[in-house]
Amino acid sequence: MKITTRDLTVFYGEIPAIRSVDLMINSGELVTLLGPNGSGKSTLLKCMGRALTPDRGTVFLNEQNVAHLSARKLATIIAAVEQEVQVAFDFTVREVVEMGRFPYLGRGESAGTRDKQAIQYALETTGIAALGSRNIHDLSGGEKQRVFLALALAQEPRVLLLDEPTSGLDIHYRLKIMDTVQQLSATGITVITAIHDLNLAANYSDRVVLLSGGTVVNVGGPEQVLTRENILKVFGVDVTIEISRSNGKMHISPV
Amino acid sequence: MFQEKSGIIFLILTVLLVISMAVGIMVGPVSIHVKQILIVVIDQLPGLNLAGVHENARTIITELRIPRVLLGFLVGGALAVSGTIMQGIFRNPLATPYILGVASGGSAGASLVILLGVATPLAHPLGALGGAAMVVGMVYRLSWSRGTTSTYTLILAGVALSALCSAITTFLIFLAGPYEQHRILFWIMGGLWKASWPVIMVMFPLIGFGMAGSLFWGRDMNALALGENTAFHLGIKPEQVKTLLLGLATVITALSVAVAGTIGFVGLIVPHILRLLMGPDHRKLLLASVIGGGGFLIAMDAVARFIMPPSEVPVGVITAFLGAPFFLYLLRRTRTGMQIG
Repeated sequence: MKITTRDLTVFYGEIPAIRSVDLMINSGELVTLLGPNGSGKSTLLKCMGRALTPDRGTVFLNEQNVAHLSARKLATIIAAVEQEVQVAFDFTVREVVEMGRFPYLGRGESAGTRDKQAIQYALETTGIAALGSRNIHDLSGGEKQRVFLALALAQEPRVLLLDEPTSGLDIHYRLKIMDTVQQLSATGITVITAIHDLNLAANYSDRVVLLSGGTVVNVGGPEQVLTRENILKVFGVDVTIEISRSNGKMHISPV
Repeated sequence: MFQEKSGIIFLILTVLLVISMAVGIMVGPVSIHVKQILIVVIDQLPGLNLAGVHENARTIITELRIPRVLLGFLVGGALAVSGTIMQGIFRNPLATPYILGVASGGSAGASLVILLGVATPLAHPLGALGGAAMVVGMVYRLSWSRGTTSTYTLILAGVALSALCSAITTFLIFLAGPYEQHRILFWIMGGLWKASWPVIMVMFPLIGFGMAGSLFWGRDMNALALGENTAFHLGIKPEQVKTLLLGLATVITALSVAVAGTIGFVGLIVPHILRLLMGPDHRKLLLASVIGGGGFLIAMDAVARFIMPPSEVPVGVITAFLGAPFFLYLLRRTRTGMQIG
């Protein structure tokens, strides 16, 4: 599903967090939001998922204004994984993932075949089917992150918003999460993710949105956007950029 | 397999409830035999007329013990359901039904009515309800800001106003004469001695409706355990659900305080025991709280009447004596899953 923002503006007090952001993200695209801390990545994601009402501007899903959708309807289209989810009480992994079916089930209705299929698909796609009966609090950070991704997938969303899905994870889990995210985007889900790791962004994104001070500096393919000049301008860091001859992957490292 | 396990727990809880009801009817200054209970119950059925029960025993069973057991079920169930809701919404295992000031507001209200010497039968419950409503109203009002209520402010405002109300109650006790002092203390200690059929007729529909209503919100409460943001992305309106459930929990707690005073620990430990037994899924936990909380208070009330006959120990003493050690045990084995900061 296509997601468009028009003139999106949010103020925190008097300080603008994002200012007149116009973006158009196509169906099935994997788009990364990049920028320093406080550049507006999380705010932008929150507006897209309607967790935050913008002071000005609109978010559209295809031609539909998200503000006009019911909470439940919205949850069947957009799923979001927050930066840090704290689970109260000792739920099992399966119980957490099952909650993804909330928008589909009426009060007192129990999960049907279709719900069970969606839950199983979510568990398998994220590689946590074997952890189903484990206590969520006994898992490692990387495993937990996949549980919340599975929870989002159980919603069968058309758009997935991920706020720093790889933060705090080791290199193995970072790549594993991004591989899964890439597969999901290949199935037609539109994925928008905020990431700090430039190399992950460079090698997994279809397009990159570079943000600074709440405005969009640049949008485009990783090679066009993640240039030495842009990175110096936005992050204030001088880098070298190499492109591997063997696999064509970009490698950005500080000088 | 999971389904089977919770099915067995529900069966056990129901059996325990029935046993505690039977014991609750048997125990007291005049002990009643199980056979007599059965005969009286069967005798109520139309078309049958069995001899063999003394008229006194019949009166004790139908006019005293059965209403008392039913009130125990309602109050115990209400406190446990309310505790489950408070702990779930506040994501805090220490939350109790009284956290928003219902009990101390109720005590202050009832104390004032007693001190003023209002003697109509409804005066004390209405005083308690009024006090509870005033305090909870203020707590909500204080925590309401820009369309949302902060759960932290709710808890803090509840604690602060509870302390204020306790001080008011203490002051009222200080002002009162010996007779009123005794009555106030007796009221605060809490107990099921107000049980009668008219009380049951009023409370059963109100508390019963509240408890039944809560059962439909188990899934919402589960989602809220993931935090309000995540719950929102699952299609919940956290503010609406929170207001509704806290309101419901507050109302059934206030009703139980109005008829039974402040009975501690039921609303704290019953949800904990049940969560340990059957996991945190609120769809099961809320129903289990109705059955388990009801059974627990009936049993504790039977103990309270049994240990020092012919006088009855305040049931709050029993729930605390059995509850506090258990609670300390829980504190010792508290795990990350129960601590949410």
